[in-house]
Amino acid sequence: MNYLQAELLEHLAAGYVLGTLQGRARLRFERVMMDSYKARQAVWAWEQRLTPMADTVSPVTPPGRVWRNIERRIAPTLPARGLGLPWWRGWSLFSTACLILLVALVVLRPVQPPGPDQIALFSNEKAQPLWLVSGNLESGRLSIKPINAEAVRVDNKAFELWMLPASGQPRSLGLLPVSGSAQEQILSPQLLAILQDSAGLAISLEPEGGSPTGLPTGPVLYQAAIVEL
Amino acid sequence: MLNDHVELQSLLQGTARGDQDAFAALYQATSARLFGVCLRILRNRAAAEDVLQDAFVKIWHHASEYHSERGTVLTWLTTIVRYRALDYLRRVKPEDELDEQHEEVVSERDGPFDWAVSGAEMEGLSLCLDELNDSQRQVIVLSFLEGLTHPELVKRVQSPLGTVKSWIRRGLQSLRRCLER
Repeated sequence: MNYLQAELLEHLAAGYVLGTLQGRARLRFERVMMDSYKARQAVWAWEQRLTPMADTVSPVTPPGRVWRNIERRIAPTLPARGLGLPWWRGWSLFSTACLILLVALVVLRPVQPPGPDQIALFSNEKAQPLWLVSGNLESGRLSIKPINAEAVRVDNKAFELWMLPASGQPRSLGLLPVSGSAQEQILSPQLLAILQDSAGLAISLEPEGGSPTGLPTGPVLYQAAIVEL
Repeated sequence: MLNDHVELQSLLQGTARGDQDAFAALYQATSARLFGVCLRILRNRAAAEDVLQDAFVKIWHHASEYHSERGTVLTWLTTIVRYRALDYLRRVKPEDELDEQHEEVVSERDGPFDWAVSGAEMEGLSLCLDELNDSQRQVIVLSFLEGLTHPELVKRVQSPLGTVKSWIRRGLQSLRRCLER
């Protein structure tokens, strides 16, 4: 069957939008839509023709728990919110659980000479490690290793790493890999100075390609203290 | 209506950039309408809450995929919610499970042909729906707003499947011709 015959395509698109195209036929048509711009266009046109029908439905305010659940699902940890502090001052709320885990990890890890001078471990709210960032102030080498970051991946978004200097605004250290091996980079003396002045790091959710402004634009998802070894 | 669209567009743009406040404002502005749509299709409060929640999480992650070919922002949001509700409705079988709680929200349902609260966009569609014969209009409205499937329509309007299908097909063809005039 040639789905792209105009007449048939119209019929299927209308049935898809109306909802009467269902079961396997619906799935098949969804597949056609993935491949065919014409099919998507036909669907979009029917959506615009029929959706005004929804104007006739009386609005009903949903209970507050719906929004609270949504908020929880889109940003699992926002510790600094609502404290009246800029979020990058809130890093000190970093949980002890994470610190214990961090120490355990450092102790159990064979340290290769010359060992990293500074490390920061990002964890989720269940204290599962997500990224390990380690740096050496002398060589300027910075290494970012994704651990379980794949699990928190967000489609069409990027994770951006920030230094939180004691004075001044957050400074980007670039985008974080969510999988694969450690990503290494050498920091400029200027960035190193800022790192030296920073007591913590943070990760924000940004559009693909990173923050367009040079400052965090999305929610701050994770924060971690920098621990000197 | 146009101002609404411009306003919603800027909130959606903020959402696409990860701005939680813009997303909260988008929810504030549209959730009552979208919850109404969920309730109308699902007729069950708990299910409608689940669907609304899932739909908004999806909107958060996919906000950047909106573009003008998809119609107004409100149209786009409504389609996301409707498809999600239809999927939910058809995943949950037997349908009786939902019908048991039918009474719970039935009082909030509008009559199927009550166009009293029509917005500007609805006017064009409303005029064209009026041009259809009663049977054609009824099956189209029931499937769009209440998510009835072919077999459910057959039961509801007490007519054979072939007849129901041809009402839908002809009704949609006339609608399209009328809207393009």
